[in-house]
Amino acid sequence: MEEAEQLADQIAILHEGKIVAEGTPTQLKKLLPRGHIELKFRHEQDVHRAHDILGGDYVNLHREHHMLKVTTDGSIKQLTAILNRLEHAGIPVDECLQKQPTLEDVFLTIIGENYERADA
Amino acid sequence: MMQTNTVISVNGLEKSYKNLKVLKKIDLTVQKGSIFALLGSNGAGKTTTVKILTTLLKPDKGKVEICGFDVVRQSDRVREKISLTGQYAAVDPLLTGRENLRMIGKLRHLPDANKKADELLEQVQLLDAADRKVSTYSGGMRRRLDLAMGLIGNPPVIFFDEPTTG
Repeated sequence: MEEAEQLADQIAILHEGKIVAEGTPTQLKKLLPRGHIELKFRHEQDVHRAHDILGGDYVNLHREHHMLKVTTDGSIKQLTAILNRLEHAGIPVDECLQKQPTLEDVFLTIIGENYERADA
Repeated sequence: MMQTNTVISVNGLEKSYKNLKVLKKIDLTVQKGSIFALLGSNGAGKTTTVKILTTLLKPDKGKVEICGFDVVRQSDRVREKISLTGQYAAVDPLLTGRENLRMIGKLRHLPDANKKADELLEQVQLLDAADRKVSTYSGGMRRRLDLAMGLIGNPPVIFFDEPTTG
C-alpha cells in the first residue's frame, strides 16, 4: 500500500470484481475529506482533561500516551475551535499536527462502504 | 481508433470461474510511461486481471489490448511486449543466476543477451553470486534475480503481481 502511494501515477481499487475507485493518489485521498489532528500534551492529566472537554462534540477521540487524536473535517475552522476551547480551559498544548488521510484510510473506507451497500 | 499513448486498454472485461463471477465489467486504461497500481483485498480479482492481461487466462467477455494487440487473437504479439513477475520467484534453481538471465535474454532474441545479463546482474547486486546455482541463493537474492529477468530486453509493459512477497 505504501509503495502504491509513493510510486503509482494512477491507482485503481478493485473490489469484488469491480473497479470501485480510480485516480491519482492525491485524487483518491480527496475522496476522504476527513483527516485527524494529533494534540500532544506535556502532562498525562492534561490529556484526560482535554479528552473530557472535547469528548462531547468530537465523537472520534483516541487517547494515547501524552497524545489525543481527534478526527476532524480537515478544516482550519474546526482546528481553531478545538485549540480555542483548550486555551479557554487553560490546558497547554505542546504540539499540534494536522494529518491527511493515508491511502490505506481511503482504501478501507471505500471497501467498507461497498460492504454496507452490498448488505443493504 | 486507439491512441498511441495507451499501452493497456481494457473494456467491459468479464470472467467467471464456473458460477462465480470474478470480474464484472472492468474498464481500464494505462498510459505509456506511467505506473499503474491495482489494489484490492484477497480475492478481489487482481491476479485474475493480471493473468488475462498477460495472456495466461482467456476472458469470457470484453476487449483487452496491450500495445494495440488483442490478448486473445494476437497473444504472440502481446507476449513480445510484456514481462510478468509473479508472486512466486520463477527462476530455475539448477542454473546459475547468469545462466537464468542469459536464457531469458536469448528467448527474447536479444542480440547482446550476455552483455545485458551482466548489466542487470550488476544493477540488482548479484554479480558476486552470478556463477552460483540459484538453489544456493537466499529468498531475497531469488527475488532480485526474478525482477532482473522481468527487466531484461526492456519490454514496453511490465507486470508485477505482488513482487515483494517474501
